[in-house]
Amino acid sequence: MNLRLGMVTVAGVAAGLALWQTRRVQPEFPHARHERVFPTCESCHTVEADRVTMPAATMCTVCHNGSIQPQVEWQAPSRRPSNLQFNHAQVVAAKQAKLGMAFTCATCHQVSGGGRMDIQRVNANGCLGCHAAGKDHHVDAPCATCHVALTEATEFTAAEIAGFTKPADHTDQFLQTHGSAADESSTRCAVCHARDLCSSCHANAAEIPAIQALEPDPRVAGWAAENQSSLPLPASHREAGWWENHAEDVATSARSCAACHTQTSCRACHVDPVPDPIRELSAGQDPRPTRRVPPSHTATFADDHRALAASATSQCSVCHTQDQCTSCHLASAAVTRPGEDVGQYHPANFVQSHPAAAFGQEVECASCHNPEAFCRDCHTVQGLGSNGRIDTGFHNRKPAWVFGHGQAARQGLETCATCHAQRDCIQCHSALGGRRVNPHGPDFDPEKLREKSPVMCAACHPRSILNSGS
Amino acid sequence: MGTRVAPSATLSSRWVIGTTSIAVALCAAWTTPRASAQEWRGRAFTRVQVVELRPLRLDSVPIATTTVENGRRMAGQQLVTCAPAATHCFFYAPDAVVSTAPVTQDIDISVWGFGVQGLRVYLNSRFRFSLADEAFWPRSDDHFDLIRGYVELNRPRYRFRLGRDQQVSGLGFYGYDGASAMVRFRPARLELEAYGGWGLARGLAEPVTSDALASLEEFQPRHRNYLFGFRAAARPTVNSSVEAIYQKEIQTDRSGIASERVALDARYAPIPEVSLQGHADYDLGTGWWGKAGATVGWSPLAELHVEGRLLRYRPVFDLQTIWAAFSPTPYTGYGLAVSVRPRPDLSIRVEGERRDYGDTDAEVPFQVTTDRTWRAGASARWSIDPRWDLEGSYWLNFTFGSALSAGEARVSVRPMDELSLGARFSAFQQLGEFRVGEGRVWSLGGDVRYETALGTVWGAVDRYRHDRRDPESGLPDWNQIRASFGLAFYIGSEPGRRR
Repeated sequence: MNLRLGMVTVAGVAAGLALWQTRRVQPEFPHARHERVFPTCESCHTVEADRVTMPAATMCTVCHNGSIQPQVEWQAPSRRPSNLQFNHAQVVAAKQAKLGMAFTCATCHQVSGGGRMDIQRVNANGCLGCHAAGKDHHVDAPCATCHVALTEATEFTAAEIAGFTKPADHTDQFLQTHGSAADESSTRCAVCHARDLCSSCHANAAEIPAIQALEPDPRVAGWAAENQSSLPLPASHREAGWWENHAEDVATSARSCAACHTQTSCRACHVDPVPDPIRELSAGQDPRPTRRVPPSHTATFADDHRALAASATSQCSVCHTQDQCTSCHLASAAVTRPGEDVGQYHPANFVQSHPAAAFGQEVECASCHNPEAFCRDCHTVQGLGSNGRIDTGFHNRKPAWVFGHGQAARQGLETCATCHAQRDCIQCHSALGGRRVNPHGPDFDPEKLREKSPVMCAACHPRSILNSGS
Repeated sequence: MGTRVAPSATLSSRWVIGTTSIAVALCAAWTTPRASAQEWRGRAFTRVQVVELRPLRLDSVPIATTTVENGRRMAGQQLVTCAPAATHCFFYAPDAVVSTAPVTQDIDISVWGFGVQGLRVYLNSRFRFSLADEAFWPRSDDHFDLIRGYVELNRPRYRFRLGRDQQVSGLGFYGYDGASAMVRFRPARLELEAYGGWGLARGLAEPVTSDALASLEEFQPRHRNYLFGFRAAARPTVNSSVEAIYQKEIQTDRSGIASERVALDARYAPIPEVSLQGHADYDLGTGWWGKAGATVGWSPLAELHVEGRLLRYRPVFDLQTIWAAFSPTPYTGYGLAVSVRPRPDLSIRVEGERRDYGDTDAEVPFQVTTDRTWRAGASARWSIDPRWDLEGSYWLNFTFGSALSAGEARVSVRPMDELSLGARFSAFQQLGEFRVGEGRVWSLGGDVRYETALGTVWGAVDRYRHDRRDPESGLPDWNQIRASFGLAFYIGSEPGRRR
């Protein structure tokens, strides 16, 4: 039993080894082992215009038929992806014309120092040894002399395209200057680039001939879509004050702006009618530049914008329309701001809490509200306006308020005027009659006022005005 | 006994005006997709408020029916005021609640592209009316204002305007019917402007002779004012700017001036982290400095901004009134504000200010008010995630006529890019108020905002509860619901808007 089992096992292993031996695949043709079988390269290969032919697999079976030699499975190697437009026949003919029959296949394909059949793929460095820039036989030719456009090199995958070696001149700064290079020779760009790559950055791609000269390519389009990255900010954009003064750059180099920006970019801030350079930009959508609040617009800018608004009005008008000023400065029911078209300058409950703001003079109420037409009219309708009586119970209902109101009045005269008419005060504060209480306080310059507005003085001093005038 | 302003418009006229203004707004919306952004820019903004008001009326009781308690004269629980030797004492009593719904319709239109480069026609107008009683909301009975309306020729080197315009400067907003001419010198970034015409009242798109100022009674000017001025603004360097303006208003009967003022404004940023700005205006009519201020801003880090302020304030009055004769006292303020952003989603601001009033020369021993006031506040905003925001603020004011302690909080969410929903809460307490008493007000409300390419619709409703702290005043509480709704349509570009 044990002997039979052993024999079966040995036979199985032997059969397996035989099968493996006969069916194994040759990963690469072992040229050196066939040196004596094939005396010349032409035994198997023929040089044609665009390629070198490979032998048919059936040639192997002449020997590797299982009786003379073990069977093998061999396939000619598939064509390696390439964008070279290398013509074997032309090169061989040209070289042989120059070097004679000394130029053979081995000149390029034989391993240095190896035997006749020590074969390798051609190393481009071998060519560049003589033809690189600076060498004696440098061929100063455009890339397209030897390379086809990327869109024709269909064997490359998107990943392989992305892995292309960058030319030496494609430095970090090249991005800023590549426009002129593209203008000079778009065919050079086309070797590695397709239109879709340019379009992923250039907002005005449709208007640039050099870009339109390139063909679109779905592999590049897909790669660009998956690898969107933020564009590097040009150096000029990082300079202090550039944002505030970019109009001058636009006036001198609008074309460079158009590379990244469309009208949409500018209209994120600029209101119509926009400056002419903006109208000359492409009208396409460009979501990259975003509107931003200037550094000057701090949390209290609504209260503090006087100096900036006054000294740089033209800057305000870039983003703001006049009606936005009016919506605050003329007692509108609401405030509008760019990007926030409905807002409120005052908090929602301000009508109830505004006395404290008015007494505290948080801002100058009269710059937006006419005290007579807005404040006093409303107070009068609500029953808060004065009707000339001094015994009505306001002012914390202090009975002696009228005798001590002077300090409060001088500190908050604007708020007095929102309830009291001028005639209320003249009841006492007039030289014409009443109690003849002098209203004039510190810093009062009667001569100056009489000179500027005698009518005002005449309200209480008609006689003195007449006398001084005579 | 309370004074009322009689409604000046009939229901039919309000209906016509309201219908017309809303029709204009709807037309603007309807034409939006058809209009070219290169030739039109416009905005139609409608706002409706719903408010409840509770006016006061002056009432009286015979002095014989009053009593004196702790030195105060009362009529029952009601504090009253009695003049010496008077037979009656007076007090304010609440009148019936009045509901009203003022409507404001703003139309703003720029038209250009007439074949002449830089030629533009601009109109900024406002319609007003009320869906209820017009007497109870300021200016509801004045149905139309032409705020601005002019023809402009604007070229890189110069600009001319003819029509109704407003001069915006360090002096504030001054409207006029007239013309302006401005020249620009680009290399020096210098602007020179001259303007003049018939002036409008301050803070009003009406002349001083308008019925809107009829409450001035015998002090209302009978003739309009001439207004003219000169302005120069320059940006000598990239980081500096300066403006100077002189302006004068003369009564057309040459009887005097209404105002004569100059102002200077300047900004300078010696380094990007530091900014300096200052402003001052001087009243040549009274010989007084008006508002003046200086601000130093320092941003040592991108996340930190410190600001110091020095401020002087004295109100400005037209010399056609008698107010300047009462010698308003200026104050000097000192303030400090710090803004920090410890995390990208969190911003905090804290500020405080002290103000010292000058000598009023009017103090009396038994009724002295403070001459030093304080203001302080803090606010914060936290973006919990891209859709949720939480913000809050608190303010404390101690002023000479009133003290205020107020806080508010709001949480908002954007379930979609176009829609924002918010809930808000606020509370404030007002103390020592000179006029109508003291109390604490709570409010709870919500708001919604929906934005489309055509425009924005929004609304807010707040419920207020008022707890009075001075029941003896007899004044009513302020409990009420307030609501406001808005509708905005746009033609042409609008910065930052959805497209």
